[in-house]
Amino acid sequence: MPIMAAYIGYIMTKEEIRAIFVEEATEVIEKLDIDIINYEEDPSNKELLNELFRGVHTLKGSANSFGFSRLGGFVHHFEDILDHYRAGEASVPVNAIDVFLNAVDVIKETLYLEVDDKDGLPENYDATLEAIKQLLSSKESESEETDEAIPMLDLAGEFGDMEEAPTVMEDSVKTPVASVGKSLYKLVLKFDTDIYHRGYDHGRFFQLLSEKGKILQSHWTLPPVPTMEAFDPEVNYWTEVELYLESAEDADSIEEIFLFVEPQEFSITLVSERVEEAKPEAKETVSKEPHRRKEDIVSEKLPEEQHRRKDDKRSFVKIDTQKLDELFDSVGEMVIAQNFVAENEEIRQLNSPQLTRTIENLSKITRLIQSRVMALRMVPVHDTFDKMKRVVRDASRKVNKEIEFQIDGEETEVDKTMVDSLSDPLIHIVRNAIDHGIEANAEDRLAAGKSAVGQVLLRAYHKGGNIAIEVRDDGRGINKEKVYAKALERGIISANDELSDQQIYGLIMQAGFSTADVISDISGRGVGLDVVRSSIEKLQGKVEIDSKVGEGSVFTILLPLTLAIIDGMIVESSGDMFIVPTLSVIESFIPTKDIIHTARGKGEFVDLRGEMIPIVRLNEVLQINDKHPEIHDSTLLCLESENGKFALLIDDLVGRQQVVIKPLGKALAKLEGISGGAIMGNGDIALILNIDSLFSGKN
Amino acid sequence: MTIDGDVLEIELDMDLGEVMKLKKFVEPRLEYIESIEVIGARDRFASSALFAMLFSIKKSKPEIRIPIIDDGVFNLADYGSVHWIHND
Repeated sequence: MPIMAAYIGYIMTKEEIRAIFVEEATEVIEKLDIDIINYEEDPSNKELLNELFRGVHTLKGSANSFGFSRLGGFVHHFEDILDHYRAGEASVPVNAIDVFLNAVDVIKETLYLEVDDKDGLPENYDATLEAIKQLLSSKESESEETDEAIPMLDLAGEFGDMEEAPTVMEDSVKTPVASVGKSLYKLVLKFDTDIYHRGYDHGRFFQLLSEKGKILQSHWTLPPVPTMEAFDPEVNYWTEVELYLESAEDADSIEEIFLFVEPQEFSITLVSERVEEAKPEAKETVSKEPHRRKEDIVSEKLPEEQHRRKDDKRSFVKIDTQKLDELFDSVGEMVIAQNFVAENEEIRQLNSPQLTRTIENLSKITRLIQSRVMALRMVPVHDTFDKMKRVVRDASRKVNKEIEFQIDGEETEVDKTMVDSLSDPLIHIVRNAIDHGIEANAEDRLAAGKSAVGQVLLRAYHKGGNIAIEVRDDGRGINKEKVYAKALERGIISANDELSDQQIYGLIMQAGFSTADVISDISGRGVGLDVVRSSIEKLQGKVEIDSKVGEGSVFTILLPLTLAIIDGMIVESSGDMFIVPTLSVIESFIPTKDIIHTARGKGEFVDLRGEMIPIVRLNEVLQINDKHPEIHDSTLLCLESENGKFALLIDDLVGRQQVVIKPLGKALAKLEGISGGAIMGNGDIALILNIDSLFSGKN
Repeated sequence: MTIDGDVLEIELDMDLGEVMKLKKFVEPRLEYIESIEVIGARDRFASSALFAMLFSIKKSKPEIRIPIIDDGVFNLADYGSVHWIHND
């Protein structure tokens, strides 16, 4: 069934339908790439071929329903060859993988042409089509037995036919198996110590869960408990309770039970999906019509597949991210209003325990709603990471280097807006690692005592309140001296500049900087890492580089969890509150007189453990007033900016807080040194400082 | 909750209030309680505080017999098998 069929029943404009088609087709095409690479890594996995076939089959239907004949025609041939390999015994020849990947490229380009109503065909259209036809013609020389044996058996597996046993984890001793018609869920309860005070108990949740299904097993984790003397029954000592629940209900329905529990206190994972009982008539159809064409059967089966997915709300609710932003904004307003109530002095003076409890409860629920709305925007980096497999494959072939590519932490979640913008910088860093990082040939690597195959690791993890995405290679490392000399030669730095290792490595991300002896067409085209840096900075993140000559390099992209909230240090200057993004803060201190220096014509400096750091007075740079407080009576905040390190002089450090970023109106948007605003708990407005524009680096 | 000689008999449907009462009852008598047994329905439990307290009792008097925690696993008709992971 074409992917659009589900939408056509609604009244939508042609443009809307087209937009949905393009979005869904793009998703399908991106997945084709990933499935092909995964299949290349695991050629025995026929399910991957089935996945590929399903994607291409869906795409063909959609393309034809839109009258995209160039796309539909090409995809039809691609589908034929996939069908041959997925359904038969014949193994996929090595060269077929290249043909498949080329076919995906052609599909992408043809889709763009069709959508833009442009004539012509992509450059590789004919050649790839010919290659597909050649693969198809070679199949005809194979035995007929395989073809006859294929259809029914294969489809049973492909579409989750009813005779399959429920999927269970390997360790059947630990993991129970759900009954037919039920899904198996794993729930992990990590309640705080105060749950009994909050009126909850594991017992109550077990009771509610047993109304949703059957609890099969539970594992209770208890750290060392006090002896009876010190034991307090009103304290929850259980750190974790893991339980398995079989239920015919979906995860959303089960999650409702935990509506008033903090999100970090529980998790629900689908272990195995509901498996229906075998339907006798299905078998009968198979036995009565053994010679039907495979394609016909697929056409009949697909609606069932689609229908099953349609029932699954998680798969089908698509929300415009703008609507999520609006929702998040409204929730932000609610948090502000709630904080205002909580901190209101008049309400406090009422001294009513009941009112205090209600406000605390309101606060808890507000935070819960805020974190759930936040979670709506979060998506795993999995898909972006998977896309890198193709990048590595293509890049390694182009420069003729054998690469072992590993991925770690792909389940780490990032704001959807950032995931979309992360792909291009990441592609560049990965290509850069292969092109410039890894040694030119295996001999060089062996001579350096390394394995012949270059290692590239892509990893995501949480670091502080941020997301870190790391590209690590075990190549030759960055030659610090060469970078320094090149920067000097190009006038990026002067001979007097004293730079730390980090700053020297950072120079390679300056515009136009390239140390590549030969400019390759993979990276090093002079529009490289500076674009990476500016793309990441647009996401309020930064790139850190670490390297050791002969051992390799690590590029770490640090990103905030979301663009809608910022973790900030609240500072006071001349009676006004400002927010400094915590990501830029290195340290804060009150300087003593002896470490403060003034250089004629160059301004004020603080000697921080031997490093002379320029001082920037916040009240002066923002032109708040002409006051000139003594530096040793003030607080200095050491900050890292794109122009280097500097110390921001403020009156006081008030605290650290997560704030919802509010854009400034048009009139204030171009204010130098300010990137946005935030409403504080007491209703006051604080401006968020743009660290990079506060310090030019030249004073 | 009853005490039969040196055997304390408890029920699994004790709520938090009853567990608090149980603590007050057991503490001064712990010296001569040899065993804690579950009586009544074994279908469900009311409060997890009861289980934690049984482990606390065991820690206070390691020789006491408490089958539902000593065996490492016990079964509840409504809630399946219950497994303990406890390092003390």
